[in-house]
Formats: sequence, structure tokens, C-alpha cells
Amino acid sequence: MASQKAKADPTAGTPFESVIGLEVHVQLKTRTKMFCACENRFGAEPNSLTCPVCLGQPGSLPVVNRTAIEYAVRVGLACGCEIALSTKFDRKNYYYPDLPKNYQISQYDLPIAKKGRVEIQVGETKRSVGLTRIHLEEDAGKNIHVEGRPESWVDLNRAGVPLLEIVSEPDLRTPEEAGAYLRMLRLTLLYLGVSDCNMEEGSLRCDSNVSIRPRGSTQLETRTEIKNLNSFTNVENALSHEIRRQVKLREKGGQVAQETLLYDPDQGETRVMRGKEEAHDYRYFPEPDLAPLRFDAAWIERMRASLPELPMARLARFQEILGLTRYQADVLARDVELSRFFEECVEMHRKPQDLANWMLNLVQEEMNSRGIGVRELGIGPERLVSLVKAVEEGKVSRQNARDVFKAMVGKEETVEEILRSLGLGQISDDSALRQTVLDVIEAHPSAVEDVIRGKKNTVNFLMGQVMRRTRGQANPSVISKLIEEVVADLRSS
Amino acid sequence: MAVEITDALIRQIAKLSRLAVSDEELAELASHFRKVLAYVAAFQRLDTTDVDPSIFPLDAANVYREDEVRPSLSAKDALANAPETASGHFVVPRIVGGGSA
Amino acid sequence: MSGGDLALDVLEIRNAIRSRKVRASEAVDAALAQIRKVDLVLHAATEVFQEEASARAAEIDRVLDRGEDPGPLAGVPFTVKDNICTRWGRTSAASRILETYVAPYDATVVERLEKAGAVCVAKTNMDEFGMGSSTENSGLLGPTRNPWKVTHVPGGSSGGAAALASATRGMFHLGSDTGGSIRQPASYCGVTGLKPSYGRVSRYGLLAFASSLDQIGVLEATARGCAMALEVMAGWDRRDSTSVQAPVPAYLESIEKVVRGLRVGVPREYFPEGIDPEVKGLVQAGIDVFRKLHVSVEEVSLPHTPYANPTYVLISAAEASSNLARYDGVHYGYRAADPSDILDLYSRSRVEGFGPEVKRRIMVGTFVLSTGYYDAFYNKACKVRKLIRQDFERAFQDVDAIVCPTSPVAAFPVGEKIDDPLKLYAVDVLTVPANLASVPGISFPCGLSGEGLPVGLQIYGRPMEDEVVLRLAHAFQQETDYHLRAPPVRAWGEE
Repeated sequence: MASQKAKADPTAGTPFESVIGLEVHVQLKTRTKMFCACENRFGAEPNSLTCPVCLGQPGSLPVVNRTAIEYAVRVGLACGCEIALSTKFDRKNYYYPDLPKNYQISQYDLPIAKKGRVEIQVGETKRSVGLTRIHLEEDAGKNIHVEGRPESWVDLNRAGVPLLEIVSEPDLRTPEEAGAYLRMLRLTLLYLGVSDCNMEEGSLRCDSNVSIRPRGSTQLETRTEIKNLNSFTNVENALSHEIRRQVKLREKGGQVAQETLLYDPDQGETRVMRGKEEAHDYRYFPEPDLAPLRFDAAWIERMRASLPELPMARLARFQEILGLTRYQADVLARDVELSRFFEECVEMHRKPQDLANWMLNLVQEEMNSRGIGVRELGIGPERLVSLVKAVEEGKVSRQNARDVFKAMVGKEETVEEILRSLGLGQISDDSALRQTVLDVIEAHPSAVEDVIRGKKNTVNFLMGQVMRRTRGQANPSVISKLIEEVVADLRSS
Repeated sequence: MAVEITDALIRQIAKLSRLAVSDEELAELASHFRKVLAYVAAFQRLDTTDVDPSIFPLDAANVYREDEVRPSLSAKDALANAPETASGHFVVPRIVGGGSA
Repeated sequence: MSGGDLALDVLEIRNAIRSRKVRASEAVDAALAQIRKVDLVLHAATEVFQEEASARAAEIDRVLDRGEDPGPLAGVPFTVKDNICTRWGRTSAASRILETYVAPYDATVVERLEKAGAVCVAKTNMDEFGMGSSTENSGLLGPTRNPWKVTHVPGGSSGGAAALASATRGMFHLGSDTGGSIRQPASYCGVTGLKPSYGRVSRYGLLAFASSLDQIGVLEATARGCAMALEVMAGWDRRDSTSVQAPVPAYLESIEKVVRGLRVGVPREYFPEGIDPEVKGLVQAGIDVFRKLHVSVEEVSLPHTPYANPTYVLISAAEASSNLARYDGVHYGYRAADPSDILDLYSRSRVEGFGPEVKRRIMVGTFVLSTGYYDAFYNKACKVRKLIRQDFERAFQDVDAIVCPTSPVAAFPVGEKIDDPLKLYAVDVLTVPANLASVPGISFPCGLSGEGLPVGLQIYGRPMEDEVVLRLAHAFQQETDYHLRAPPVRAWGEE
């Protein structure tokens, strides 16, 4: 697909290198909004989750959500940032209908965290991408453009939702690196449990800044900003397109203008946003309605100690301690819940490499085909482990295990109950099978000669027949052993 | 700091303030600005090199609210004072171009 | 029952209702009647809640009849300045831009007072959004008149509250003070007006003018009446991050403590050139009263006083320019007709909805915060504010309170200063320091000028020592009777 080509460095073969910086806005999944106690929930009836504060009504005042502060500090710590010991909120003044106070409470010169990094890996290359700052602010409402009417409609449910703005250093050099950075950042936030990071619902948004410069230069040149990117793939494609555009322009002797662009994924191109804005004068000043924040080192250390295991550490542990392959570890670590589920299974049945295969094959397949997460499958670690054990003990064949697993989804029956109801218990009982083998051989007398002569295909054919008659429930290794024995018996007689 | 109060400056401030001032008002405002600047001129000459600005008038810090939901207004009450509504939304003339984050 | 029969001190009304000598409905009806009587002349009330208040009073009576306690202020009537949210009626801050606005909630102080059984009877007139010192900037009602001389202003911005406090009895009046808007009109109308310490009373529900300076306070004829109201109004509010977590003293009790032994300072900078000589004389005589009460009086210096008003002008304009940005015709309030686009909607709604002084201050405030000017103006003003605060900290190491005039002049005629905003700013020079320093300030009458206009004496206290300023004012009022004098326009006594 085009994206493969897109991800490859678009400055390859040119005298330029790209300079990419990303600005990510993340909605924190606190229960309530940043400055008021309205519920923080997506998808409610318009303007039904509002109050005088987030409506910007006269006389209302903001009050800081403690949990949002804690989440922000944890994100900062997880990204190796310096946490500000002294910080505050500031007003960012501008007029927009989705901003009811016509100022946004944000942070200007004392962000809550700064100077961090995000570790990424592209192919075999590992890189550390700098993170300039992280700050807290309130989200704006939503403007809806109504077809065929000269109006916009405003819903303020989203106004006041806590937003974390994460700004990277302009350290990224290719669209692929940008994608890797976004994926690792997103994964880290999911591991911390501070956001749903769902780009479709708007809980994660990304703007990118991109410029090019002669390879080896350290100057920062004029950059363009690309907004309205609603997937990581679109970020990569948009960057790729824009870099190519800038390269062509510079090669022709032109100059890049400082513009804000929109990316159109259908046309695969960037366009200047209509209604070019003048530079805003935000007139930042300290928010007089809110007290400053002061953190002491001891509290920050407690926050740090309470951080969960993060993606890179889990990746390493899965490989080094649990012995998974790099591929297995990678796939599992990329899904927070799946990796947790996996470990719960390992707790009960210490065969991590085996279980990893189960996760990657059966479990993930089922998740993907249904489009749901592992917990929504309704198969707890106990039942999965009992299925795994049943296969190991020969009570069910590996092939039939798949059907059993599918039957377990959303139900509560035990493995035994399902095996019984589906009639899929593996028959390993010699005597029962022996008769079936005899029946099959009787039905195919010429097969015996072929088996004696060592024709593998015939053995397989016979096994297949036995399987048919036992509706797949016969234990293959037992069948093959029995076929050998029966043939030997017949031979000697 | 000496500031030249020009019509252009007043227009720029009026735009930032979202006030559609007329040309007559422009002249009055320019004159008012000059008076205010003259009024504050003396304090600008005070030496404040080692002084920290007074940012928050109380000693308090870390004033928080627990993350617990409280009832919101009904959508009806939220929209009760709106000049124009439609299907539970506030209505404004069609917005073109950028604005929020 | 006419207003005259119940021309009692508000505390006496409160006690009479509790002891069932007077019914709540009588007290509230009397209050409503008084307001109606004087308001044709004074234009002090923007709205009178005839039905609602009577119904509420009847409810209070029923509770009392059952032998239950509706609260410490059961049946006591009060008025609310039009920039404080009430579910009843409209909350417009005397501005066209909010002419039809109905608040969906009550301000915290209104909630607390109503929970204590008090009954809101009216909203009062003011300078639009609190911007003014004469109530001539009212965008809806026009100027309120001074009951002592109806050709003169009552002061501002809480002019309606001050006029009613002067012309009626048996109720108290909420005001707000950002640079003197309670104290200055109190002094012009011969009543007592208290601006509490910053953070003492919740600002939730007060339409913000300048967030770091605003406070809700109270006007009444006496310091005792103010103490009675403050006891109920004050205290931490979880909805206001600038409200202080400190216990609320029993002010009514503590104001009775003797003042002997307290030390007050008289700042030499508070008798500026141009102060009216009568004002100066009456204030000095007032200070003598404290000497008689065995309060020690000494001179202090607040050297940065001359810079206080310029600092105030810039900081208040800056904060206001941001606080008033929300009045834009989108979610509530006035919207201009047929806007062509969103920019037009904003710009025309605001230019048509706001009065001239409000527009001037918004413009100055926007300028002061703009790129390139922020450091030289806003940030500089914040630094000078720090110096002013340090002046007070130093002075309060030596004295417990500061005594001075409230305003360099007494009430002036309507129209005299309105054409020159800076002339009007100048009457605030002695009140703005309290807001900049976040300290409590009270004004109370200390005599009448030759023209028959009241003059106010002002006391500042340490932050959160509202009790001290109330105590000193109360002691003064035990020694003098200026606070009992009746203005020519009034609702009680012989015609």
C-alpha cells in the first residue's frame, strides 16, 4: 500500500532532512471535568453535562480536580520529566463559541512537567525522542457545522474536560519515527490508565509541525503546522506528503511559508486552512481564581513509586524473565489488558511460552474477529487455563480446542461442560479407539499392505478416517500408535 | 515605557477586545488612553528590580476538589438564557476556519 | 403598618422576630413599603420582589409558629446588589448586555443568608459591572440619588445599596467592593459599609470585575448590623478557590470587646493635597474620639500610597478585560440583531451591550496584557502591588488598625465628574489600597459637612482581622450618633 512507501524517509536522496515535532492533546479519563464536578463522559445528549462553571456563566468560579493533577504528574514521571515544584494556571485569552469564557484556563510559563523523553524503536534502531513540556488545560466544547444552514451549533459537554498537552522536541526525522513516537506515547498513557487514547472519540488528538533543512544543519527553519489528523496512519501520510511538498518547493528555489494546513486523507494532500488567521495575541496572565500548586519532593517520590510497570519494562521482562520471543513480547505488550490477562494465566499455569502462543493465536484471533478486548470475551484466566490443561492432558485435541474456545465466549460453562455438550472430548481410551481402528482397517483392507510398506500417506488416510468416525475427538497420537499395533497384529496373524 | 497611541493601535486593541468601535469613539478612546498612560507614568518609574510580582493574594496553595460527580444542570436550564438554540445546541452564525486547539 | 413603626435597628428587628413580638411578614412588608416609598426619588432598586418575599416571609412565620427555628436571621429582610446572582428576578450588573439574564443559581452568600432565614426583598442599582464611583454608570436605571441631597450622587458602585441603607431601616444590604465600591458610597450616604478581608466571603455568584480585588460585603446603618450579616455570610466555600479556610468568629459578640489598648495608625500619606478641608477636619475629630476611648494613636507611613491608584487602575482593568470577555451574545445575554458572521456577532453585541466606561476599561485592560506591553504595565503593576502590600505588613507590625478618611471629598453633584473618568478615579485613592493589600476595610459616618453631606471615617485591619475593624467602628458608634442621623429622604419617622 502507499503507506509503506510513505513511511520510508521522504528526504532520502535529497540534500535535506526533516525536522518534525508533535503536539499531542490527551483527554484524561477522570470522573469529572477539570474545574467543575460535571461528569466527564463522551456521547451524552448535547449540553446535558454542564453547569455554571463550564458554561462560563456569570459569577462562576473554577476549582481544580485533584485527580487530574495526579494523572498529569504520573504522565510526566513516566516520561522521565522534571516535575515542577511550583506551578500555576494561566488564562489564554481568545474568542471562540466553543470556549464559553472566551479564555481557556491553561498553563503558560510554568508547565507541570518538562524535559522528558519517549523511547522509540523503528526497525532495529532505538532512539530517545525529547519531550519539551507537558501541561494541563481545559478542553473546549464542540462546534458542529450544519449542512445547508448558515449556522454552527455548539455543544458544551466537552468544555472543561481535562486535557494534557504533550509537546515533543523537534527530534523526529521521519514519518515512521513520528508514528512510532505516537504509538509508544499512546501505549504509555494506556498503561498508566489515564486516558482511553481513542482518536475517533477525540480523546487523543495530534498536530504536527514540520520543516526541512540542509542535512547536517542545526538551524530550525520555517515550519508548517498540520492539524485535523485523526489517525496515526494519517499523521505518517500527511507528514510524508508535506515533506515531499517542501522538498519540491525548496528544490525549485521557493520558500516554505509558515502556514497551518489541513490533511485530506481521501485526496492524500495537505491544504492551507481556509480563513487564514492572524497571529493570536493570547495575553496570557496568571489565573487569579486559582491558587498556585506546590509539590514537595516526598510526594513526587510517592507518585513515582506508585507508577505501574511501563511498556518498555514489560517488553524486557517478558523476554528476559518469561522467556518470550521478541515478537511475542511485542504483540502482548502492545495490548495492556491482554498482557495483564496473559500474566494472570501464567500465575495459574507456569508455562509462559505456551500461553503466549495461545494468546497470540486463539485469543487474539477471537478478539479481532469480534472487534472487542480480551476482557469482553468473558473468558477468565481460570477457564482459559483449564482449556490449556485439558489439551495438555489429552482430553481435547488442539484442533477442537478452537471450537471449545469459541463456545466459551460470553458463556459461563466450564471446559468439561462444553466438551460434553459439543461431544468434543478427546477420546484417548485405547480400547474404545482400538475397535474404531479395526473397523476402519476392515473397511480398507488394501491399506494394510501400504502401511506395511511404509506409505505415510496411507497412515494419514487411515488416521483421517478414524478422526471422521470419532468426529475429531480421537487423540491423534493414540490413533497412530493403535494403527501400528493393529497392523502389526494383523501381520503376525 | 513611552507608548505612541495611534489610531492603528486603538483599532488593534478594539479588535482584540471584540468591540466594534466607531470612528468617533476611536478618537475619544485614544484621548482616554493618553490620560491613563499619563496617570500611571509615575509608577512606571519606580524601581522594582528586586521585587517579585504579587500573583496570588493569599498564602494558600493546592486548593483541590475531589474527583466526584455532582449533578449538572439540565440541558434546558443550560440553554435557558441562550439567544438562539436548535436541537439542544447553542446557535451562532457559521464559523469558518480555526480557533480552538 | 407603615414603615415608620418598624424603624428599628436591624438587630432589634431580628430579635423581635425571634421573640415573636413581630412577625416575619410584618418586617418584610415594612421593608418593601419603605423601599417603595423612597424609590421614586432615589432610583435605588432595580427590582423589588413583592410576591416572592411576602410568600417567603409567610413560610418563615409558619415555621416559627410550629416552634421550629428557621435560622439565626429568620425574617430579616435584605437587598442584593445587581451583580450578585439570585434565582429570583434578573442579575444584570446594571448592564444592557445582561438585561434579560436569569441566573440558574443563587450566589453562595445568598444561599447562606436564605438558609439562615433572611428574606431577599430587592436587587439594587449600581455602576455597570462595578465600574464607577457614583452609580452614574448604571446602564439600566440611570443614576441613583443621595438621600442627603437628591441632586448629588450616592457614590458607587454600590450606590443603590448605600442609598437604601441610608433611607430605610430594619434591613441590611449586600454590596461588592473592588476599589472602594462599598466603603465610598457608605461614606457619601452616611452609613456603615464593610469590605471584608479578601477570601473571607465567597465570591461564587458575584459577577467578577477584578478577581483578585473583588469582595462581597455589607452596608447597614450600624457596624453591629454589618457584624450580624457577616457572621452568616463569611466562611470557606468549596466552590471558591480563593475563599479562606478559617473559622468564622462570633462577630456580634466580639465587637462588644473594649477597644482600650488597641493601637491605630494614621498614615500621613492619606491626607493628600486636594483633600476637602471639611473632610479632613471631621476625620481628625473622629480620630480624637478614639483617643478618648483610650486607643493609642500614632502616625505611620505607607510610602507607596501615591502609586496605589495607578496600580489599581491597571490591574483591575486587566482582570476585567478577561472577566468580561464572556459577555459575547453567544450563550446568554444581549445579542445584536442580524449578525453577518461570528466576529460581527461578538463585536456588535458587546459594543451595543456595554456602556462607555465598561468599554474604556476593557480596552485599557486588553492593552495592558498585550504582547509588548505586559511587562511594562501589568507585570509592573503587580510588582508595585507587592510593595504596597509590604507597606501594610510593616505598618501592622506596629499598629492593629489604620484610620483615615474614606474619600478625599464628600458626595458631589450628579454630572460633575462623569465627563472625566480620571477625575472619578481620583475619589478612590484612599479605598483602593485595601483591595490591593487584601485587608478588611470599613467606613462609617463621622459627621456632616457644611452642605449637610456625610463624611466617612475609614478603618483598615490586618488580613482576616475583620473583627478588629468592626469592633473599632462599633465602639465609635457607642460614643457618637452620626450613624443615627436621618437623611432628608427617608422612609421612617415624621414627614
